[in-house]
Amino acid sequence: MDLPHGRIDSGGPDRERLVALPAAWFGDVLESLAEGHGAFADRLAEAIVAEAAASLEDPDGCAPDEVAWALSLAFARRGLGLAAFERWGDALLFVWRAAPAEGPMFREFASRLAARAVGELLHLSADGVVVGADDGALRILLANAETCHRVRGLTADGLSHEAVMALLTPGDDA
Amino acid sequence: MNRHDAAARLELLLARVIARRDVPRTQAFTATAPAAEAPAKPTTPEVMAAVDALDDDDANDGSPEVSLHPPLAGDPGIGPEIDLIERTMDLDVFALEATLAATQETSVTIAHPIQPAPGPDVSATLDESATLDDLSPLDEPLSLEPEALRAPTPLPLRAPTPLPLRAPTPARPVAAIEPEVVEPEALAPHRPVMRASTPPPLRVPTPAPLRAPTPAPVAMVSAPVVEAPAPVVEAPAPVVEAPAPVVEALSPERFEPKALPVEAAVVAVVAMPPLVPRSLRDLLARSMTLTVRPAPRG
Repeated sequence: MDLPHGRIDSGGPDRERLVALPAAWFGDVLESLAEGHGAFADRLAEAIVAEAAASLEDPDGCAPDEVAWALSLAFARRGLGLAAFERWGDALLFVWRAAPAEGPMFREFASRLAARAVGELLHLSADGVVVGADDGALRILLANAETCHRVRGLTADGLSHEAVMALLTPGDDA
Repeated sequence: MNRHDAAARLELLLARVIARRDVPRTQAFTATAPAAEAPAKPTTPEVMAAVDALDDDDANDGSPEVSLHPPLAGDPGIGPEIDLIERTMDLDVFALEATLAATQETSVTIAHPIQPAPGPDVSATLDESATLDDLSPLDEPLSLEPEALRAPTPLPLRAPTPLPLRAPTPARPVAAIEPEVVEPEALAPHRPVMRASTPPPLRVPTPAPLRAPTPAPVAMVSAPVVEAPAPVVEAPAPVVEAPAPVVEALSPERFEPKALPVEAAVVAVVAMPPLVPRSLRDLLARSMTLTVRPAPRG
């Protein structure tokens, strides 16, 4: 943050300049977009992965808490909140706490951002789907695209994230 | 010694005296022969007569007595001073004095100035008040008179300092002693007066009131015995019986992030999850294998 010069940057290696906007504006912008929120998420995930990777020596071998710390650092520098992980059985959930918005378009944006950031950081191609939002935390299941598609349908039917987790079972490849 | 010889020797005497200015002035002109060391001088009856006459003349003039004859034995006179002059001047003073007295010369005139060596030229006229200082170089001839030789300059008499007179202490008043007036009665013959001696009244000794002895206050404040009972704190040991963790299949295993750095201005609540030996990448890879089994109907 370089307020004397009117600049805010993320402090990362690229010293990318940021523009501070109200958190409500972030949700409003995402809700107003008919499409394009995926590209917005990919662009933001790229910057976050770069910073998190710079904070970790070996992201592939890091424990869940270490990766969560690195991602939280990158999120917090942009005012996006904190990141954490939960594991329900074999299911891995990305928990986004203190998210700036809660709208449906933001959920799509958040699932895309979380899957893209974690996948690219760990060199895996993962997908994400929001399975629940309570206590100010947004829970995103990180799984394959098919599973995520089906879970998205279940959540749309009104199943709770605990019920959805109960339906997840290891596949034949596991 | 004739007149000229005497004058010449006197001149020589004066010159040497002046040359030796440390000689007291009175000694130079009141020379009197000492008794002890002065040798016996041959005198003639005329000389002695002249000396006696000179003494007689000076007897009542108030000036100090000048004696031209040897003083009596035991009288020190001014012998020591003459001794000094004689030894230093090597002069036959007695002969000179005798000659002067015999010739009855009233003055000795020195015709030419004295040339003392190494002092300055000196010629002066001596009189009664002449001093050595007056013998400073003068142009006038020195005139000496016999009286000047005899009459020394009287020392200034210092008026005696009057002692402070103390006022006489007034005599103590003497108490007037008045005659004792004796009255006629007192003069009467004393008669013995017989008086019956009245016995002193007998007093029954009053018994002292009996007082009950006041007991002395006994100040014995018993110190309060403070013996606070030691609190017996026997807190029952809390029985912590942690309930056995109920492991459910769907209970989440949380992975909280570490504490964020200060510059992040975000304090993350760290609840350390149980360490998982596996990396997040392995967990993610396993999660990607999950499928959704069909929901049970009903």
